[in-house]
Amino acid sequence: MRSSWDVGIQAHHYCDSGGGGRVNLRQNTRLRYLRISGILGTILLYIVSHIDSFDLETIHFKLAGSNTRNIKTVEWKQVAQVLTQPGFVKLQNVDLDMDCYSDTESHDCSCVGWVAYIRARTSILDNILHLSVCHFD
Amino acid sequence: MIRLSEHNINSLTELLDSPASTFFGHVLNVKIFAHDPVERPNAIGILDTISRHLPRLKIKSLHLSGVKWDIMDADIEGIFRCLAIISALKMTDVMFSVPNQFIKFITSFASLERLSLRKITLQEVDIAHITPFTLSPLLRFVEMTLNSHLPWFLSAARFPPLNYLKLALITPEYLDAIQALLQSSGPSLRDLNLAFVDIGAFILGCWHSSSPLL
Repeated sequence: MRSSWDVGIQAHHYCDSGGGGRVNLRQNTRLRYLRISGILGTILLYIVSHIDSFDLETIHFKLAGSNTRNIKTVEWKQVAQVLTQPGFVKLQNVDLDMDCYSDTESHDCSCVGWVAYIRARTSILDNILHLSVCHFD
Repeated sequence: MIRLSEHNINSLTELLDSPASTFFGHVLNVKIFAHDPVERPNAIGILDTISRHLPRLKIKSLHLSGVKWDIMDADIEGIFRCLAIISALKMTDVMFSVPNQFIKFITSFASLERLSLRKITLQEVDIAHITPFTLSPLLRFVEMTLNSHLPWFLSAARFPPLNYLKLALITPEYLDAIQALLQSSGPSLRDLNLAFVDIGAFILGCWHSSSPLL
């Protein structure tokens, strides 16, 4: 098992021990494509820290319920560090989709600066990270 | 692709009755659909109309759409023998009466390699009488859109190791069954697509303390 991936990563404890069922991917050691949608950015680190596949080529996350506070809570640097570990040597694409909803009163777009904020913290992923923000009024 | 409905099944029967019919020499992809979705015709009735020809038809894939599957007075065993050679099954908006009819139907596909289920409903869900059942050992590709009618299915079905798994509209009640499925697929799984309907359901009961949305 790839316990070394967790070195230096202060993963948050998202679950109580009696928190019920959960999904983890440690047993799926030959995954090539992974797409997960409808999640919060705050569990990205948990997910990528619990992958044990050396074959992963494409990861696609689609976040739900994003807002600026949410985006700034995500441990982007740590997520990027995990994804550059030797175990992810085959990784070619990391797609991250986010939904952005305008403020209902002011109609201001709340997602200005999201991409720049994330890029600044994930630069070690270089050109394999593709960010996309979908705007909704 | 042959598209069959209650409106054209008799025409197909005439074609199959013809000595010049070429249907029997080809591998067929068959879709049975509701010409009028409100009517929701019984797919068994449509298949029963051509039951005497079924043993000679080489059906590779079957797509049921907008129909019901309700066992009635028909050549059921002959129809089930026909299903046993089909390698791909897709169902979209199909209604079954009770879980055991659904189980009997889906386990009759002994050669199934690809399974796609979307909007499956049951008139009654009596989970007290559901026993575990085994799906085709050849099954490798599964995609399902989950709903409140199906938690029992994912828990009771014994899947072989899958290569491809896509699950949509996942709610927390499915998580234990999904984890068991991921476990049983192990290294065979190459392509995984999970779409959660509840934010944070990925780790049930765990996100409340960390979510800034709450």
